[in-house]
Formats: sequence, structure tokens, C-alpha cells
Amino acid sequence: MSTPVLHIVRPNQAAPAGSSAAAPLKVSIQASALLQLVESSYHEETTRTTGALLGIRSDDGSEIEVVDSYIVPHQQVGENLTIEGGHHISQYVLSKRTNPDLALLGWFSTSHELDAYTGLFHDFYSRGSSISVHPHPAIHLTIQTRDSENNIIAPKLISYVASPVGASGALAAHLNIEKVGSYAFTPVPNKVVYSTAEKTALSWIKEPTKLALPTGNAVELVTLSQELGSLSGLVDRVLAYTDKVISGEIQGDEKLGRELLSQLSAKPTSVSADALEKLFNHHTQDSLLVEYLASSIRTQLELSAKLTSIVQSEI
Amino acid sequence: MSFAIVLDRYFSESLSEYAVLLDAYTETTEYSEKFADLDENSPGVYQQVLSTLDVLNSLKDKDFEATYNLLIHILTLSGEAESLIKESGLLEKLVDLAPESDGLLAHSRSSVKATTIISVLSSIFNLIPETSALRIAILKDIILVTKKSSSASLLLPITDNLKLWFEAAGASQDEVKVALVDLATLFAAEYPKESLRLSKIIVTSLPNVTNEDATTLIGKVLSSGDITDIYSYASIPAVKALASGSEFDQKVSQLVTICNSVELAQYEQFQTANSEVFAKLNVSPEQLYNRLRVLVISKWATKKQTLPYSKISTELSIPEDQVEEYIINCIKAGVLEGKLNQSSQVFYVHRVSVVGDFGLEQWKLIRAKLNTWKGSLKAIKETVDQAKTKKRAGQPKEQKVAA
Repeated sequence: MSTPVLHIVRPNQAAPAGSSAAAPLKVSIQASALLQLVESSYHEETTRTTGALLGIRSDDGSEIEVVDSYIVPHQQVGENLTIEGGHHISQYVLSKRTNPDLALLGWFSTSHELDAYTGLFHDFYSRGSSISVHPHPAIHLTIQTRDSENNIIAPKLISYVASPVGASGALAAHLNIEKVGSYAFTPVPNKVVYSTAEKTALSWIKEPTKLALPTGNAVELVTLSQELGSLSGLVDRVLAYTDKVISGEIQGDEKLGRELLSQLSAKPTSVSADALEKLFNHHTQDSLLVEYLASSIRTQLELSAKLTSIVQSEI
Repeated sequence: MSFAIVLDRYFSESLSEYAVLLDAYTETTEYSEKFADLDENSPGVYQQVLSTLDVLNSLKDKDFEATYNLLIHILTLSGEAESLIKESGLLEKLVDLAPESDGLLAHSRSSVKATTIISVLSSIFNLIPETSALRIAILKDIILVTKKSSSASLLLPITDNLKLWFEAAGASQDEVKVALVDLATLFAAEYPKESLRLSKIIVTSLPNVTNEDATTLIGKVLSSGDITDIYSYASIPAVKALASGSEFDQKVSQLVTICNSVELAQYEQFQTANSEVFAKLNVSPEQLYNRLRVLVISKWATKKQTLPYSKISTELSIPEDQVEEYIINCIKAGVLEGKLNQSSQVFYVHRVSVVGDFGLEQWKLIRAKLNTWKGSLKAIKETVDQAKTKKRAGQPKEQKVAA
């Protein structure tokens, strides 16, 4: 879908605590959760892998942040769907122990198709299991990592909320209508959020693994030096652009120019080059001292362990 | 993938549920009997279903959306939901249903909420393909509903996408413009910033812009609280074209030039000679003057690091005891950044927004500054690298105790 979905009011959701306000929903997915989801999609032996989404729900339920997820196995034989509820419960209890703040938000599926099973799954997470999002409405997230020709594509995430279809509650019971798994899924916008720290970590992961990476706190200096390198690379790029503008090769973007001039004229409380060098050397000396002390202590400990074992064998 | 309804059922089951729901509301058995023998192959079955719209529309808010979902599901089974919806007048009836009230909160118990109607409309919108012309009608209807129920704030999130949707659905440029202008007028009173943004979209990205659009935009810019980026409007081709327009257009163009170059003296002259221009643009000349006064400091603060209060006072003819207040206003407007030093009566400039003309001279300045930055970065990198090698040399060797 190339144009965004229209979502300005929250649909009437099939849950007691849903729809208290009409403000549109915002779903954000943390980068680490996205990685988990992408990983889940490679387990694909059957038609889909599904699991639970954990995260934070704002008080009015209009902002939902997916932080964590786990896979819940299921079997799909003919028209029957068996979800391993026991696994779901034990996983939930485990994650609750490590992260008591995270609540169950809904579920994900690696199949981007919505079919009758989707409704059954949604039932399970909305109210079917002893651990479900009830009374809050559940969200559903689909992740697509391959296109129709089975080529790997950038993960495509679509999130949905479900609203009831036809009769519901007491009326449905009264009329004896089977309501299991009938939902209208409304797409809601979502976005992936990440922090600078995660981005830096990712840039390290991207590096070839067999590179001789420095260990200990030398990493800090190497990273700093690399960052400085990339920063001067950026400065070079801007400089090349500016040169082109001055030589009349291209028409300069006035807005960009103004912003540049105003930012470059910024005068932060600067440190002189000499003072900086002095600070750096001090820092290096300090960290060397700490490393030296740590290493001596380790040697001492090893020595004492050896001695103890000798003394004990003597006795 | 977009809006989808999952139901593991046969057509007749859905239809009978729909009939039963209507019966439960009307307290008869009329619809169950009427629909009992129908299936998806019966001729005119969908027309019959759609003939119940009036009953459906009298449902209470609680059941409204769910029942509509069921109806939409039944219609999608026909494979031609789009034309059925169009022919049945379903959209028009929904719009008629929208409550007329003074806001989102005011609604009577029995009537259907505006948000519910919009929700149904957006479900249909998301259901049909993005190239369908029906989408244009739905968007217009949603705007109508919000107008009727005075809930324009609901539309704020769609301003960015409106043009995209219209174009994908094959709307003509004139239609897009009418809708955007409509929305901009709707927002004008309550959300001037959004309205300004829409006007800018109209003037910059549509081909059929008139001088009137451009003057409307300028009026909004000049009366808005923030005019630090007036240059970005002055450089829009449609605004530049005002210079060769009617007498009024030319005056507006002149005013933009004066504001852009922040010439206070010229402004005062212009103001006394052309008060009718301000009235027509709906701009308060006094407020605009105050904004320009805030901007004027950046014209000569760019090259300085410190500004004594006394200098600001003489340069801008402000009484010395009001200098601090003036600077704080400048900082608030985003023109300046820096520190005030009360004891020595000096302002330390950290950053100044660039106003006035921007040309080759300024680009050269940027180049010079960039070169300085490059030099300092290199020096810092050398220091760091030195520290790195020093550290590596000084690292203690791992000592192992021989077994």
C-alpha cells in the first residue's frame, strides 16, 4: 500500500476498557522488538509464526509501545487451530518476573494475510486465554519479510485493532449466533523507534566480525576517533556542496545555507587544543593506572589460589 | 493490506444475522422473513439489503459500527462493494446522520456520535482501492461531518496526506485545491499554524496557484507569531510573481521585501502610506512592527560575540532598563541564543538566526567557517589518536602465573 491509511478516530473496539476516548491510536515498535520479530519470521516452516507482544500502554490506551515479544507455538490442522496456551502462560510469567512493567498488548503474526484463523488467534489473545489483554483491546501486528516472489524485502509492519462485527455480547448470546473469531480489522499507523545508543550498537554489529577489535576501555577512544573521522567526512561533503554553489555549478538551497550559517556561527564554550590534549593525556594515564591495578590484583588472587592449594595438599 | 473483516461463515448466515439485528431493533420479524429465502445468487439481493439503510441508520451508537461492519462484510461478498455503496447513497445518508453540535463532547444519548460515523467512513475508505474515485467522495464527506459537528481538530492528522490521497484517487488539481483551501479556511480560526502550513502546501506544490492564494498565504505568515523564516516564503515563485500582479499584489510584494530585509525605517514609511493593505491582509501593523524589531538585532549581532546592553540600547533605541526584556523576547522568538550577564551588563551571543538577503557572500562565509571547523576537527582527531597509541604502548601485559 503506497498511500498511508486513514486513521483519525479510534474504532469501537471489542473490549470493555476500549474506546473510552476517540483519540487515534499510535503504535510504536522499539528497535529491539523489531529485531525479535524479524528473527521470528525466519522460523517459518509452516504458514506463519505467531506470538505475544509485550510493552507499555498509555493510560487512555491511545499510545502503545511494543518492547518485547515471544513466540507461542500453534498447530493448524484443517479447520482446527491449537495454540499452546501453557507455553504462553509460562513465557508470560517468566517475562513478568524480569520486566514487571510490561503488559500484554496483543499478538504478532508473520503472515500478512488476514483470514479466519486471524480471528481465532485474536480471540485467544483478547479473551480466550487465562492470560489475555482483557479488559483492554488487543492489537495485532503483521510482519512481512518476503514479497510474493519470496525475495527478502525490508520488513513491512502493519498494525491493526479489531472492532466487532454484527451482534455482540448479550444480544448475540440471546440470538444464539456463533461469534468466535469474527472481527473487523482496522489498520492503524505505526512507527519504529530507536535510540542513538542502539544505532551505534548496530553500526558495530555491521562491522566484519573477524576484525581485530580493541577490548576494554580502549573501545571508547577508538569509537571517538571513528566518530571524529565520520564527522570530518560530513564536513567535507558540506564543503564540496558549498564549493559547487560558489562556483555557480548548482543553485544553493537558501534554507540550508541559512541554517548552516547560523549553526556554524554557534560559539560553544570551547576548549583550546592544548587544554584538550592535556585532558586526554590525564584521562589515558588514569585509565592505564586502573588497568594496571586491576591486573596486579588479578595476579595476586591467582597466586593466593595456587598457594592455598599447595598448603592444603601439604596438610 | 488494509481494512479487512474476518468471518468464517456463509453468506446466508451473515445475512440472517443482519436481519435479526434489524428485527431486534424494530421489534418485529419483518426482516428475518424478508431475507429468509435469499442467498448470494438471488437477483437484487444486495439492493434489498441496502434498502434497509434507513432502519440501520436509526440504530443506537453502541451497535451502530458493529452492524455497519456486518453490512460492509455482506457487500464485499458481492465483489462490487464500491459501486453498490456509490449507488445506494450510503455515504450521503451517513453525512446527514451526523449530529450538529458545538463540539466532540456534546452529543445526545440517542444520536450516533460524529466519531462513530467517521470511523465507519474511514473503514470504507481503507477498504476500497486507493485509486478509486469513491475515496475522494469519502474524504469530502468526512470533512463535511467534522464541519457539521464542529470537530475540526479530528482532521489535524490528515493534513499531510490529503493531497496524496486525492492524487492517488485521480482527482484533478482543481479538486485538490478546493479541498485544501476548504480545510485551510476550516482551521483558520482555531489552528492558525496548521492553516498556514496548508496554505504553504497549496502555494508551493500545486500548479494552479493564483495571486490571491499567494496573498492569503502572506497574510497568514505576517499575522502568525513566528516570522523568523519569512525568507522561505519570499522565495516561493508564486509570491515572487506578485511583483507583476495588480496594484494590491505589488504592494504586498513590496511589504514582503521590506519584512525580509528587516528595514524598519522603510516599514514605517510603508505603513503610513498603505494602511489599507494591512486591513486587506488582516494583519495588525503594530504587531508586525514589534516582530520586525525583534528580528532586527540579528542583522548586526551575527559577527559579534558579546553585546553590551548600552550598545543594544543606542543601536535599537530601546531604554536601557528594557534591554533584558527585549533580549528575552528575541530568545523566545528563536532569533538569538546566548547568555545574559546582569552584573557586567553584557549579552554573550552563542547563535544568531540569519535574516535578510542570502547570496554568494554568505556562502563564502560558510565555506570559511567550514574550513575552520575542518581544521579543528583534524587537530582533535590527532590528539585522540595520539592518546590511543600512547595507551596501547602503556597497556600492561597479561601476566600468567606459571602452574
